[in-house]
Amino acid sequence: MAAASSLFKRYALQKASPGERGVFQQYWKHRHLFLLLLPGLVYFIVFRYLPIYGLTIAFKDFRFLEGIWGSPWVGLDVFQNVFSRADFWEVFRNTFLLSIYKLIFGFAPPILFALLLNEIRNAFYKKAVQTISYLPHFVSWVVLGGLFIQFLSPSIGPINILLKAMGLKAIYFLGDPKWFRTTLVVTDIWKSMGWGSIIYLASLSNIDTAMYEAADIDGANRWQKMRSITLPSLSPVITIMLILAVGKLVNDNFDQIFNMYNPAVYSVGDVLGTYTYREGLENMSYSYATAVELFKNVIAFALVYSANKIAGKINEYGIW
Amino acid sequence: MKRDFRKLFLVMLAGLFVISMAWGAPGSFAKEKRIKINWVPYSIQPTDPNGEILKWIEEKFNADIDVWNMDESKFDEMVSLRMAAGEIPDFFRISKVANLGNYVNQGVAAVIPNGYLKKYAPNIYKCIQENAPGFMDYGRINGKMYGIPIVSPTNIFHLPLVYREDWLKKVGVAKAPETLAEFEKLMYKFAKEDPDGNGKKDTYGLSNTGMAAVFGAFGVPLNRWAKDDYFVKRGNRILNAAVAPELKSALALLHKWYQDGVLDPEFITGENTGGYWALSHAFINSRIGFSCSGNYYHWIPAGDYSQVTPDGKKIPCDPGAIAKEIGLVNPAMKYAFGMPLQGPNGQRGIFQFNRLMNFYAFGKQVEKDRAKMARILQIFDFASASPDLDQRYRAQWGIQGKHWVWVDKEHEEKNFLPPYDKQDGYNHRLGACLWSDMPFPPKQMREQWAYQHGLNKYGIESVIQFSLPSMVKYGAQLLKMRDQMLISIITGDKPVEWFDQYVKDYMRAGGAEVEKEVNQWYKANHKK
Repeated sequence: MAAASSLFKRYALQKASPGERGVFQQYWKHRHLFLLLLPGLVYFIVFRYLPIYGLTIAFKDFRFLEGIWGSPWVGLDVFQNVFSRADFWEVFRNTFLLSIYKLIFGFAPPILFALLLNEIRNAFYKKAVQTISYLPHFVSWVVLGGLFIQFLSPSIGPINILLKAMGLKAIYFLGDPKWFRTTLVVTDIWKSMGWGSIIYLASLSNIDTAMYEAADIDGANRWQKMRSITLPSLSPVITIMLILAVGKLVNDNFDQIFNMYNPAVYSVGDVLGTYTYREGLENMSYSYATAVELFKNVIAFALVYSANKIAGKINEYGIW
Repeated sequence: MKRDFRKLFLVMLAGLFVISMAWGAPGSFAKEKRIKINWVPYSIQPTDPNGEILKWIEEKFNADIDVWNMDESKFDEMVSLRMAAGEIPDFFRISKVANLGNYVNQGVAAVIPNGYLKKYAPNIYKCIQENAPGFMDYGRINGKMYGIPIVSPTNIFHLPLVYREDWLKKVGVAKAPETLAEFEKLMYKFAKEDPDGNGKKDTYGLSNTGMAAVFGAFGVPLNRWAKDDYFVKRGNRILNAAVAPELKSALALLHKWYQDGVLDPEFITGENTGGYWALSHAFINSRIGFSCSGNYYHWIPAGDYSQVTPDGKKIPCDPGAIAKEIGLVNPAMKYAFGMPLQGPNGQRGIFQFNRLMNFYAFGKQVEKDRAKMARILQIFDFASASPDLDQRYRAQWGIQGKHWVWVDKEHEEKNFLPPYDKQDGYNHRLGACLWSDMPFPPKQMREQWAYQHGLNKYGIESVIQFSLPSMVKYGAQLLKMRDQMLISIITGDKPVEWFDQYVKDYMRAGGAEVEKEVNQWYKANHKK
């Protein structure tokens, strides 16, 4: 990591030499750097740009015998079909609300967790806490779905047994529309917090220790050091993570919801992913599923673009 | 040395003799042109292109068969993806009945000319006509035959009705209920009279699968697992079970039970908390006293009937999936089977899964190649329904004496030989997969068990077991409405009277269109 960045600095700092040495020569000079870029470039062209051609089936009546190219264009008929469904907008709203809740409540915990871990001095204890916090990330929602049904049960779940012992009413976390979203958000935070903190821990370890030493000499306490050194140093990473998170606003966690929802909470828990799964893929309606995905991506693009603009106004970090 | 040679020679001769016996006299196919066939069967394991059964069938029918294996969990998606990429197989299975219409709309399925099935697949034709009359029609769309309907031999049995026998004793009831009224009394006892004797109020009568017994008593085939549309006939009108008028009374009753704490309030998240779909954890963990979870064979207790080993020893049968779990968790538990309940109108009934399971269809290009279509039908007929049991079982399970042996040929009871008894789908590897289930009356011990328990009586089937274009279009949305309605009325979120409003909404959301199409299809195909 460090070697690569110093290498980069060395190349980047070289001024383009004046005279007849053209752009091409510049490229040639840095050919090894471009070689490093090649695999990534090929990946994006093959797996990200070429399939865009397949998106055209959102505007076509896709016929097997004619293929993608030969299928007849139908203009916006497929989209009309999507938007005219009675429950499409309800599902769209659910997707959005769930994601916004997850962003508001789920964005800060990994950062706080990383900061707390960073303050721990006992290396063994720190490692143990870290490892345990990563575990849920590796357990699939299929397994967790079954576990949570038991764990959150109004009659045999430990949380409700506790509530009842305190004289409160039991809560049906997975069967009550009022509680279902909360349950989804909290379980998602529990699952992803440890894993999400890795990137922040990595950038914490990159902060120059000389600054802390200088602060010590100035007599700063821990709290002041965190406020004046740690958080400002983290801010670029936080900004970028936030922009990426905004882009994921239209993505629902299909696995989580599919394994935890039931008809009683469709009104708050049915999202675009589960909806297209039931509507599109099971019925070979490729055009339909593609149209929904395309619609999602257009919105995601708009969100990322505006988030980046706003971030650029506030500070100088952004994705581009 | 010399003697060795003679021995070898004799062995080879004997081998040749056996092979020629197995092959039988070369059929009429040897004289014809060799045909190349792309075939998409049901597959659990990839087929070896040199599998011995595949080779045997290829020689017997003078064809080169290229078997395309598809992952069962995403079968139709994989097949249609191959087609979307421009490769259309000659003969393919359609795992979801609803998709036949999609393939026909896509123009990739060939029309099967009238009389072809009867002529080239006589055994299949006869079997379906005799045991599933009227099912042939399901393969027709707009009057043309596109699909060979695959009818399940065992979906002639309805959902199981299972009671806690030890609880029955505890609350002083002699035998399983026969009527809905008796059933209701029993459910209240299960919920109120502490049948598990632990002094706590922690038991319920039933949860979500058990409701099927209540709906059935009102003459409505409904079940939580049913993802397809089920239709009932009222007068001369066919309507969706989800809007059957009797449903209102059934829901009123269930709502009362919910309020009185007889219906498990956690029926919303279900009886099953993960793992194998048929398990009812609520039943296994003594939370409820009645369940209709899974199928009859999941509940068969170990040793309820005997199986015979190849060397003639009688051994008790293996337990079904649910019986096995009960044996692990609560071996002292006793349960008993009951009959479908007699409802207010004097009829008994309960949900029964559709017997129409899959279709087989031909790729468009075979329409012009009649010789190929005939040959494929002959192979399919031979492997699925040949009256010569030895030959049929060879085409389905491999070589007798090597992969399996007869235990009781009369009852079609066979045993797999080690190591194949532990290898699920070994026959698909050999190429013994060019066949499909046929609705022959089941003769095996397991099914005899079901007959003895009366599981073939009083089941309510859907009067239409097929998918029409409008069902494909509105299916997911209507299913969502149905499930939301069931839950909100039972839990009292909406009053029972709201059912009438729901029926109106349902009809507006596409239900009316489906009903119209279904009735048209029914009239056209059931000339009375």
